Amino acid sequence: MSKEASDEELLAAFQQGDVGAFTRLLNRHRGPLFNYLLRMLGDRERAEDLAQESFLRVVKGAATWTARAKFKTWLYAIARNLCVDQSRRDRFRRVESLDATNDASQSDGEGQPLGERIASADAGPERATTSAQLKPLLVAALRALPEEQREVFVLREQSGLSFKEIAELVAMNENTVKSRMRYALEGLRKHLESAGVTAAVAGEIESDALALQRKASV
Amino acid sequence: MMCEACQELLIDLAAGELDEVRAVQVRQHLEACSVCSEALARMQRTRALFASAIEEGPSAGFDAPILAAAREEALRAMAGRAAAASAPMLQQRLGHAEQMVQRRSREIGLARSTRWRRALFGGSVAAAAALAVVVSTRESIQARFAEVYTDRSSRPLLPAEEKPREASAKQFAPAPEQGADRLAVLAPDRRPAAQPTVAAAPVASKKSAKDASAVLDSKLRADRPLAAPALVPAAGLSALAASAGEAAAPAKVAAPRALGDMASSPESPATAAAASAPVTPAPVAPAPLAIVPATRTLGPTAASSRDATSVQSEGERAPRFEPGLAKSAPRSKEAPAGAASAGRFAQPASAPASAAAEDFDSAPASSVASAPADQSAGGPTDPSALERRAARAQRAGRLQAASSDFRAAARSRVRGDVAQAAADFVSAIECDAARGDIDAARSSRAELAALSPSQPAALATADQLIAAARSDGPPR
Repeated sequence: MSKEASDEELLAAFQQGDVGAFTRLLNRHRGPLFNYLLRMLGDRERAEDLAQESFLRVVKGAATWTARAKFKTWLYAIARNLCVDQSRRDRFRRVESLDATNDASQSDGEGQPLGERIASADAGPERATTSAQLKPLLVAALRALPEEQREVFVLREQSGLSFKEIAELVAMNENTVKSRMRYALEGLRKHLESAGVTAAVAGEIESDALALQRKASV
Repeated sequence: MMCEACQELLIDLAAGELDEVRAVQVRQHLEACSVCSEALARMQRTRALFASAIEEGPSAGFDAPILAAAREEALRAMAGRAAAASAPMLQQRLGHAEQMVQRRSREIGLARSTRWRRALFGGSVAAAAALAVVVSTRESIQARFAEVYTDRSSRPLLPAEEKPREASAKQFAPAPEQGADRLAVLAPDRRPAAQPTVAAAPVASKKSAKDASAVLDSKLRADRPLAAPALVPAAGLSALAASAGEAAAPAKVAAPRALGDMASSPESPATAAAASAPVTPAPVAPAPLAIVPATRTLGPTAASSRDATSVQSEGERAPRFEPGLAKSAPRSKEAPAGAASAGRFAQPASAPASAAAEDFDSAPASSVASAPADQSAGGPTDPSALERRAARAQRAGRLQAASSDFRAAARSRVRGDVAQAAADFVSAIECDAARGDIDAARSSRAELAALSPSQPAALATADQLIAAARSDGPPR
């Protein structure tokens, strides 16, 4: 089987007993799925558990899968359903959320969201010059987005789903998905600017990222 | 293109999802519009920030459970495919196996029915054998019981009400600590009722019966056709003979008149007269002894059959004495088996045991005494006739006449049939012994000894009879 085999071809091979095909599917979708769940849940362990559960469900349901459905859509639908169920359970738990406002007596940020508080405390304009320091700010900005915008942004930018696939997955109009994407980008930009991540810093980071990419390719 | 329409497509252009025609149009607008181009740059920068900075991967053990499950599922899928491929072949094999099972079940059913038939046949055979064993055992038990019963009939039996009285006395006796004195008072009233019955059992009679039983055993063991007469308890021997199928044997056993339970036996017509006799034997009567003479010469004959009939009628219409019968006694060895008891003679157990004997005893003395005198006065000289007359006399209780007739018959047979002569002597000795005439018995024994050593068994029997008579004491 060639490298460019589609997800559906690999899954068909797995249906015939080819474990290697499934391994390639796993390698292809492990990271993006995990990141999607991680950004949606905000918890690494739970994201890993749900990602594993999603792949196990794929394994168990592979025999009943038909080629008419796209594998990626099917996989993310499983993960999304699991994520939704987990979110519903979490609502009944007393888990401190990043979006929750702290008590005034315990808070340094005076009523700011936790993500913003972390960003404002740790990421001063002069200290946000490296990607290591920038990551918490980005995570906090992402967590600050509304869930539907965050979901579209993550699915498009990190999981690589097209707007059409996202529209399929979330059962929305494609234009609605694009609109949510636009709002998500605008919200992130504003959040990062408020956190001191200016365009210049972003340009430096971008240049650093390009340098790293070149170094990795060499 | 206007800015509003271009900004609608900027997101598609930034994501790389805009088709080429519209992408060219947007790029043309961007070159001319700084606001739209600045918007696109902002989008690109934001996307670039997140694409390079926040990507993470799961932990190292993330794949293991997933791949294990995948391998298991792959094996299952392969097995399912293999099963599907082999399904037609399995279907064919299954059909073949079903046919074999049906065929085998039919065979098993047949074998099972045959086995059942065999089991039923074997069971019926076993049941028949068991029934035969039970019947023969019952007859032998009856014979033994009759023998013992006859033995016990010679002694005063324990009254039937004594045992319950003893039992009730024991059962309702007060506890020793409560009423020992009362028990001592009550006991003498009840014990004498039972004690005499036990003490009254004559030891001598018991001993004689024991001796007679021993003689019977020795005679039966001898098992010779010319055996000397055996002295047996009459009822016991009769029952033994009946149970042993004596209908075909020539031995003759006297039927006891005192036993009502034997009266119904077809082989014992002589006992028919005794059917009306009391069943319970006389408490003081000694054990009735029967002489079984050797049967070769006294075997069942037609005459003896008639004699049996006459004996029966004699028993019914006693006293009737028909000496003429003795004259016509043709010997026939093909006599019917049913007449086996016809030639038997027995001493009745006791006077009340036989109504016929009583009637005979009450007959005039002249007719009674005429029997032995008959011989001396030119009576029957044929030994067979003498033997028959002696037998009738013995059955009637006229032991002296019977003894003299037997002796006369024996003397007339000495030169001819020695064995029968010995048997007659033994019969005479038995009659003498029964009436307590030891001297006459010894005299007959001396004559018998003259025949010896050809008849040692008869001598031994005679000795035992004499010994038993001596131990019994005075004549009764």
